[in-house]
Amino acid sequence: MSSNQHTEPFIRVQQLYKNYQVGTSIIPALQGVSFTIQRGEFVAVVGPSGSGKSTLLNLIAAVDSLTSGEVVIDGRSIHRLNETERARWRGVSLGIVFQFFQMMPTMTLLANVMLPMELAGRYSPSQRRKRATELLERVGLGDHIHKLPSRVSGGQQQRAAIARALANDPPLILGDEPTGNLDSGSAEVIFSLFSELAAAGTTVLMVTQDEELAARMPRRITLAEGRIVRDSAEAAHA
Amino acid sequence: MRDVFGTVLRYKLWFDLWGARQRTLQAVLTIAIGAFAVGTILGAKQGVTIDTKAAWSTVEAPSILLRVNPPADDQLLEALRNRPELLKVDAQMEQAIVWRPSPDEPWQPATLIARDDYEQQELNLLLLEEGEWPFGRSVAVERRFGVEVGDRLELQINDRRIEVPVGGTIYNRVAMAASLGGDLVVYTTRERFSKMTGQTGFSTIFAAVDNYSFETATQIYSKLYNDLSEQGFSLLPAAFDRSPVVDPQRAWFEELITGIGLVMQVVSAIAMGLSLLLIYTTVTAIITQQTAQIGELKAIGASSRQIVYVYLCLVAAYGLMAALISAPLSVIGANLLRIVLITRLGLDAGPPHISWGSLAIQLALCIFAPILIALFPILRGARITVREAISFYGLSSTGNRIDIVLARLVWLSRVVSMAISNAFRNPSRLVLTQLALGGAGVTLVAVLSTQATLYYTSGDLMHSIYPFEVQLDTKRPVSLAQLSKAADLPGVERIEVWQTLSVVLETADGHSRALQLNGVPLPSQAYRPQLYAGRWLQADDTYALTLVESLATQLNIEVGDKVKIAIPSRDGRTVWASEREWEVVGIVLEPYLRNLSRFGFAPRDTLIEEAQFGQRFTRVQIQIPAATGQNAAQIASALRDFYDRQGVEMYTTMNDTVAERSEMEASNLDVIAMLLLAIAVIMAAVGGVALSGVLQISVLERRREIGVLRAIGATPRVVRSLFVIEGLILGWLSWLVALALSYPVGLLLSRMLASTIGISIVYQYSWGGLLFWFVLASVIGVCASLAPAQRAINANVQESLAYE
Repeated sequence: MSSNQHTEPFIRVQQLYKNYQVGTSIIPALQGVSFTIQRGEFVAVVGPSGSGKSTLLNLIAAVDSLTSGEVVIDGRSIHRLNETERARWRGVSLGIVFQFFQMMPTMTLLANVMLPMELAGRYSPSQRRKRATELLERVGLGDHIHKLPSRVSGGQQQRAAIARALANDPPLILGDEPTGNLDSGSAEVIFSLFSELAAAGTTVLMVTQDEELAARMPRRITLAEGRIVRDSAEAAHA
Repeated sequence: MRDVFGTVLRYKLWFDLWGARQRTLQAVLTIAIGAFAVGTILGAKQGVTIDTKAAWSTVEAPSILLRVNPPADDQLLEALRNRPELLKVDAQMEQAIVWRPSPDEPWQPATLIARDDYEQQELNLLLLEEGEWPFGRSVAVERRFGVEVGDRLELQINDRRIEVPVGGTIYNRVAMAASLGGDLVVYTTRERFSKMTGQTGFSTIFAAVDNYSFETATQIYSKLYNDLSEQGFSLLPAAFDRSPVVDPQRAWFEELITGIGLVMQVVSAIAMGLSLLLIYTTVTAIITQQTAQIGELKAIGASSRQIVYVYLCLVAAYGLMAALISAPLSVIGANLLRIVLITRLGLDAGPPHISWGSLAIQLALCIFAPILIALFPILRGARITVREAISFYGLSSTGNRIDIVLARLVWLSRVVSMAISNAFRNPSRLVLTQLALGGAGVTLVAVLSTQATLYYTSGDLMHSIYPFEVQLDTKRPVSLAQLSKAADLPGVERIEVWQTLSVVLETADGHSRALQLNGVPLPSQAYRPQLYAGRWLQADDTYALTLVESLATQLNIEVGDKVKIAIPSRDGRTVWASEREWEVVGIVLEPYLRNLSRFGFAPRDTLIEEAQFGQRFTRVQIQIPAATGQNAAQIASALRDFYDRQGVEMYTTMNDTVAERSEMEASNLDVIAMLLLAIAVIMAAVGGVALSGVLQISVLERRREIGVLRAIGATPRVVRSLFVIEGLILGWLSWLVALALSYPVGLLLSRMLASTIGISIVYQYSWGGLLFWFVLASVIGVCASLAPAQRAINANVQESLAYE
């Protein structure tokens, strides 16, 4: 746990700009986005298509490069890290859940969950197996651990993806429309899991287009045309 | 449809070609390398055929070659020229001599030749390369022996040493080239030849017959033989293969060229197959990768026909670009390979040559083959329904049994298990990759085994057959006592004395060949036969023969057959000392080129009796203690000096020792061995490109997977390891394929080659070659995966995740 947790927010996004170059045109995706998130917050990022939600998430995950500005997470300016350092940082400090699950198709659910632990070099091989089994049981997939992703439903795959995101017990979970491809029943299960995580102290940032779901989250940041048009936390303070 | 294709689909085509430049380059190079290999090999083969035909077509080759004793005078030649059945007659004076470039160099064997008039040659035409024809004391020499116009040579002829100036170099297409282990030929005038040797007549006669056929020429030869025999001349066939009648269209190097051609044909067929496989793999991958696009096109109204058309155009464009790259390169490659081979044969390479036939094959391979091959995956792709095509989401593939097994191997690193899984993920592509890379491995090891077989046959096998290292031949029969004196010399363990005779063998069906019959003491210590059929000679054998396999095959002789052996007389009163039937009791394998292996073995005592020489012998085999190379040559030289002091005249050859003979045989096979090696390298390169192509495609297909991996913490090193391990696995699999198939393929190739160039072989599998392929396949696996891995690393994670 960081020593400056009481003085610094867990995530600080400052004057974030991101432009995409398409041919000779420059398309601004984010235009001076700034906000902070405290440890353990459960935040929804909402907005219409093309508003910059996924770009923001990608920059927080350091899987895309920014044009200017800064993203500081737990005291580290993550865009100043080189590619290897970013990969290691992602491995231990971040869990990502994608809209289309993105499980390794040739690995069983168990192996998929063990993979981040192995990549990060954490835990002994037997501990990895034990921990991965526990995580899958925690998301209700204890009976399916030896199945390949193609043998389980979309909702089950997404639950396994959450177990994978938790593999190294990261303090931050990012969800990129994790319920966007699920039926309402499965979406509810996934949302509950995210809520539990947040309740347990994990910071959760979830991009969604589902206004109803977002409305159930404690904080909502609304983007439009690359700018924050509303942050429910600021609105509450105001 | 034309309108649509003229606008939007044309843009798509352009985007697919230019927008995905790296993929285009990969596809074009994949098609080009196979076509280049095929074009180079076929072009060189045709070029070699054209050059050798051109070289031989102006030789004016004779169809009858005779060695006459006593040598023929002008009167006899005139009489022969007047015979209506002979179209042309020419002759040359010949004597074996020795030469050296300077007094501090060792003596080397050579042939001294004189023609009546070098400006008026009729047959076996010699060409003046540089300087002048022989005149006065000035001689000309065969080219490419390191002797230049203006040099002086020392010749030893009948114990006389003469220094002669070199005034010219000659291109003799009938003489075996220096590069093939031939001896120097020194040309002089008729007058000078007589002065130097004391011989005034022509010992070799060439004759051409009208409308050559073997039967006609043989009839003419028989008549000539009878007439000259009646006049007191003994005649021995003088052609390269020791038969009296030869096909004038067939050059002495024909068998070698056929052998080279065979190797080239086999390999170009393999290269073509590999090339087609590479094309199929590449096109299939591109179509698979564009499945979603196909669905989207169909969703907006494109017909299957339009889709097929647009992708066929894409493939045709790849092929056209590949043709533009590979055609000029293969023309250059074919000419370079042709020049190397032709020069090695001692012939002149013709002007740069474009083989339109091989270019046409190459173009077909570049343009039509990809279109035909691509039809299957394109049609399959075009048939996909819109729902199937656009229902794709997340990561593709479904995993298989191997993945389940790998998942249970908990001790195995996930990265390693993922690499193994990736290698086996697409079975049809795995098979195709192994057909290409494994095929390259099989070919390489088979080719190296063939090379090992050639070298073993001319090397270790020769040493095992001839355990006595030194062999010297006397010019005249010598007594046993005189030859045996060498046995007391230091460094000599044992000697064995043989009788060697040039005889004529005639089969029951009337075919005749000259051969060297070796009379060996029984049991012989100096010869360990490699039996092919029947048995070796026994101590109580008398009129029993064993023949070498190549001769027996050529004359269709089997064990148990009776043949007539005619032994020339030495007294001059009669032509033959003996003409009688002998029984062939065995057939042995001889590691000599067919041209040189006209051997037989007979009991020495019976042969001496029939030759009427008394107890006098012509060959001494000397065993020395495990000497090799230089040592053996030095001992042989000391033995020569010893016999020289004893007054025993020995023939000078370059091959007193088994090591030297072995080296000469190896140099004869060097062209083929070199070619085999070049082919092995090409095959390895093709295999490497195949693997690299497959891995590049693998990166394209798994780009999103790699993005996910990186998003969950995989460092660049991990991603690189993933591809390197996959490359290694595919490389090692190809090694297993080579392990399983290279032995029979190598055996087949060796047998085909041996049968074509006329040698007997004992097959040697190249374990070294197999080990070499393991190392090379590993290196190829690593190298071929580095570029794709780097590509995967360089890709933006976010773009990879969004990749479709």
